[in-house]
Amino acid sequence: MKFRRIHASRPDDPDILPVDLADIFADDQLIESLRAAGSAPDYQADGRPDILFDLLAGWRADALAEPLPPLPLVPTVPPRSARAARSGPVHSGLGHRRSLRPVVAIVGAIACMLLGSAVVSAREAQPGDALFGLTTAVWPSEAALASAIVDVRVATESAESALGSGDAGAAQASLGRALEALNSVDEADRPASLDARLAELRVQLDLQPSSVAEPADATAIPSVTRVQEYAAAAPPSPQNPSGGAVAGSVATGESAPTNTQTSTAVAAAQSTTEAGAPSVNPTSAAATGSSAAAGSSALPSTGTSGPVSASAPVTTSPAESTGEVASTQAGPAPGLPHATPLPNKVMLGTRTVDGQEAIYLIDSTTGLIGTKLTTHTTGTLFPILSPDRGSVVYAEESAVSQLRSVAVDGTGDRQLFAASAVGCQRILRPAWNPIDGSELAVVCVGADDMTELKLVGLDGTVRSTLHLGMGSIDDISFSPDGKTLLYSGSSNQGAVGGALFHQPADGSGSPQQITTPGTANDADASFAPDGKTIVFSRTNTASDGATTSQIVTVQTNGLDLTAVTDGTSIDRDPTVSPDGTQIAFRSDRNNSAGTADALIWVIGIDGTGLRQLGIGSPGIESGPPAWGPR
Amino acid sequence: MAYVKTNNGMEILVARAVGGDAAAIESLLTDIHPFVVRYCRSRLPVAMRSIASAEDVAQEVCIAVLTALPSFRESGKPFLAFVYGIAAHKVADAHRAVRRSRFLLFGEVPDTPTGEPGPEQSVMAGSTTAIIGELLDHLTATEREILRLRIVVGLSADVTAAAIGSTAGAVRVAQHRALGKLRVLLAKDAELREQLV
Repeated sequence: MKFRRIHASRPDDPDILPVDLADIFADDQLIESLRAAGSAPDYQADGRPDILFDLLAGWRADALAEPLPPLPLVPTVPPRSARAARSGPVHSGLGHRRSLRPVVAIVGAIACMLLGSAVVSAREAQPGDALFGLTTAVWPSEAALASAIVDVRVATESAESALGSGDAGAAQASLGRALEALNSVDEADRPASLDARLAELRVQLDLQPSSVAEPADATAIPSVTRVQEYAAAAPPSPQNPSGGAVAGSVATGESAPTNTQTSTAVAAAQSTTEAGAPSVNPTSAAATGSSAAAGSSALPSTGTSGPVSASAPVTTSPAESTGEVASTQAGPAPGLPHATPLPNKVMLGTRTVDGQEAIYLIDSTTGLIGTKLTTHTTGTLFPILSPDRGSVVYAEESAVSQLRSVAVDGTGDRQLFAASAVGCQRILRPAWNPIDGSELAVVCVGADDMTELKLVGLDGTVRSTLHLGMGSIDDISFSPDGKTLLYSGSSNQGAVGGALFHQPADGSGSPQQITTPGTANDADASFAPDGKTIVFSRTNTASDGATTSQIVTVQTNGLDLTAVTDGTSIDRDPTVSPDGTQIAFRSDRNNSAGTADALIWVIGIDGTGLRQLGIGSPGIESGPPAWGPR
Repeated sequence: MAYVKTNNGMEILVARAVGGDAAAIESLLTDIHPFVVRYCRSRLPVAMRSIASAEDVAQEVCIAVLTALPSFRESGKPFLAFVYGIAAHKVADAHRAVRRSRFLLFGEVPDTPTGEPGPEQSVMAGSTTAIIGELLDHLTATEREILRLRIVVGLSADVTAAAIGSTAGAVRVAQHRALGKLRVLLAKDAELREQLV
């Protein structure tokens, strides 16, 4: 080992000297041999027995010594309709009219078997109590509330403790989490003591220096570089009818738009990450401002604030920018169910209402939910619109993965082809060639779980297969001229998202990487109508598992990375309006009903005019919306 | 968001399980059960088990995983990483329950000897775990969790990275640092003993 200094009392001192890659590899091998529970070098190079290895092996053996306990019981599951019929009256009797999802119903059944008449007292269980897990299963809304309060408390305590140890950055991060968790708790349900502690924390943190310098982490390696600039504040949402309801204003009240310094900050951070520079970089650290501490840690933590990267506001009202007439000249796709093309202001949404998932029309101007297009629903749906906006193709993920089609008025719903017909186990979200309406691009998951990209006709004939040499790809999308394919890809098989790539659709060129997200994941990318701007979601997961996802735009050359949404919630599945001025996306941000249910929101591509669609309609957004072409 | 793909086909089982396929649910449980049990045993020391038995918590985790399946796609993680998130929360819940408990609660006293090890045997058997526990106290929380996931639970560096929200590279660096710290501690301990002798 190459430690030159030893910190006897606090070996977790971050002041660690550079490490040798060979040593890292050797330790990884040691752990791998422990995992395999096989033999490992009993002696170190100097001939002494390796006590550490024996201890670790004993540690593992202890957990494996006793035989596994029996599996939890799994009752036979009655058909969906029978469950719905049975669960209805039972739960409405308890005052819970919302129908439970299938698995919740299953677990409810397990809970009843285990608990019998104790079920009623389980309702009162608090997090930490033995019955709490079962409460979660049976009464999701109440368990969610109790769990949210615990989340607030834990985050508050962690903020207090971080503050006590002088780590203002960590305290702010925890406070952010606490406030976020508090958002999901109705004001009436908030423990007053927690409110007071949070208020105290806010006061104390304002008095602290905005950032605490941390020693640079010399062992950071390029792959842990992380772009931090998106922890940005929210643009105001004047049209959000939730107004000051609940605590929305608490969480976003700290926003401080600083347009001018931002673009430099983003550009600087961008240049360092794109160049693959190590995260220890004075420019990058400076650019990320108060979240600099996060940038210097080998393991990411959630930054609570950072420069805002919204560009100068453009005052275009959403109503003015949505055309009333479809603008594309494309003809109907041959042989598909077809109806009068949708006007540009109407999009498709995938909503779950009363436990049933279906595709609906949604008016982006009025926000009203319109016609329900599908009734054949057994799994998650990924709809796309034909180039002429008269037909829908959707991927359905259930026991049988298939592509189906329906006209935009809900007529003619039928299967196009099953995944197996094109040689796939599953088909992921498809894309529609905007120039040749008879061609779809699909990501195909094969028997070995490898993904490949196939161009297929509407009749299920495979026109070409592109082997990309990547572990996994998803979220395929065509450029407006139909010549380029865009997707997220990762070298890791089994990865979710990854970096964004584009490549010629005719297979004539190799994949070109667009973004370098570091530990974040880029996904859901599609082109704006200009063919140059790419809209996608970037997901950050903090070390405590807290996930945020942000809508971001970037140019095809990888430049001008710009945040559109504020990064305080999970914003995903962006789809650009046909005129290119707005983005619809799915978000769990605090909505007009005061919940964190996923719903469709619309925002200008410049980050202004955030508003919620479908206000007052029951149901949640369970799949991606489709507005413009993909 | 993209579908989550893992390289062991678990996500196909998840899709079927969400659709209500009882066989898929059982297969899924069978797959995750050993990981969950190992994790819970490692996080819940013998001394705590009178209140929160690792097996009970593991069972709760499995049930909670089934409940949470519909939100799996939202989590954007490999399935085992998703399971880990739930297990970590449940174990934290159990720890809180123990901390809050003013009384030690015991199960019913068995009428006949159970053949299970008594307290002394448990302590002896747990001595490796006790030493390890003491050593792990000197690591950061993240390093502890990484060693636990890699060695006891037996996850790959990639899945561990997804579970804790990091990269495989960072996990390898962190585990190396953690082992380095433990070696230093052990070396100092050995020195101390030699001096005493």
